[in-house]
Amino acid sequence: MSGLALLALLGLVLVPAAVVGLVVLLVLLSRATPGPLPVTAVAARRHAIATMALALAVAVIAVAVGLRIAALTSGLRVGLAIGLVPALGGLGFLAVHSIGEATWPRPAGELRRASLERRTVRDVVPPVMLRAAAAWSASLLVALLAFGLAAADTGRAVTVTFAESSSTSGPFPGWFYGLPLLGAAAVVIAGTWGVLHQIATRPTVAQTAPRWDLALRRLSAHRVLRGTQTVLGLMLVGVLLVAGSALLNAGRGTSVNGVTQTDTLASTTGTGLMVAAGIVLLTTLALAVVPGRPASLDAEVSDPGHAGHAGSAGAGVQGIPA
Amino acid sequence: MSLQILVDLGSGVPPYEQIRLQVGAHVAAGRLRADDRLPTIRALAADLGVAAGTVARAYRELEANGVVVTRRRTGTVVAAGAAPADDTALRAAVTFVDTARAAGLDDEAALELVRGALLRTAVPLRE
Repeated sequence: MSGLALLALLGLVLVPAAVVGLVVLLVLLSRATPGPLPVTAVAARRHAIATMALALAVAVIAVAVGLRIAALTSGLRVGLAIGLVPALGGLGFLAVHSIGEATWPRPAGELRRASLERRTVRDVVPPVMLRAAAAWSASLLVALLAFGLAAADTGRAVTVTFAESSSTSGPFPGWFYGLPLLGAAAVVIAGTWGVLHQIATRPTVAQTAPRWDLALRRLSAHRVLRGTQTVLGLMLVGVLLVAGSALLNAGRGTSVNGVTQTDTLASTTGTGLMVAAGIVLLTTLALAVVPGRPASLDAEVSDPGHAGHAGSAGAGVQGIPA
Repeated sequence: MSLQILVDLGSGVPPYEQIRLQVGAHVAAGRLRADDRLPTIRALAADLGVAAGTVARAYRELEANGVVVTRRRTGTVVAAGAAPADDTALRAAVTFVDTARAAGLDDEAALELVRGALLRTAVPLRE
């Protein structure tokens, strides 16, 4: 598959994804909140939504810049540059989320509340998005390792040998492409873990119940993991498409003495990889538009710990049902 | 149950002392048990919006009193034997608080009653 075709494919995927993301954002912003919210809760929600919107915008810009760089690149690095575009968008997305968590509203006012229970990343991650991100990560690792071993010596093509000849086709995601992609994926995964840790340890939203605060953390984690699974999913799709295309081309073989030689295994594998890419793409895009559960619908907002305890330092101890 | 502590920055009691008192109260009431892990100093300081040194001092004093211990791998945990073995007094305290709440007393008024009752009986001095 040529670089231009891949560019067009990425454009077809990313533009609708950006549009859908903006629509989801507008729906979230316009969603009415049942019941009055404390000022601190409103500020926290506004901060979270602004972070998400900015992260999406930066991700789209980073992807556009990456595609532009890829278009200006020549030679063997074109394919590599295109392959790294999703990771570039993902890193921009995660960087904004990290800044958003680092600048999370600090507790204000004279009365401060804190939970004595330890919060860990495990407490805030949504299982579905975590499984999706883990599945794409593991599949990407397995695929790149397999393609690296199957590739020709150059690490950029695959060779299929017939009885009287052989056929080589590329680009193919061997080590030449695979190692940088694995590195980029590792950086995205590490960045995601870092942001999730920030979410778990950020300050509690004052004047809100612990359950509401936890629900808002889960919503933030959902948004981060949704972006990460999209990035890893698109990377996997690209790898599967390129590998499938190369295997299909190589499997068709060459014409020797008027007889076209074909390799059924290579052709079937190539077709299977293309189909798998389509399934992964559809699943990734479907998960990319799954909204998180709003914090206001998940738990009570007001903080019962704020009633009748002001000023009683020694007795201000409260056990709140979770 | 989600255990909470409240710190009133406008109170005359220093924040570290408020933290120390409340963690100690949770342990005494049996809501925190031996080996229960407390939040890290950094996390609790972030939640309360106070300096890390404030929480560190509270933890240090709790450790000096044998309420918590700090371990390299698990962090700060409730010490074994920190909670009283006999819970008769604890049950009486819970009953008293329920009664005070039913009577509409706030925390300070309830504490005044306890302080008054304590004054009736002098604590024997330790030799």
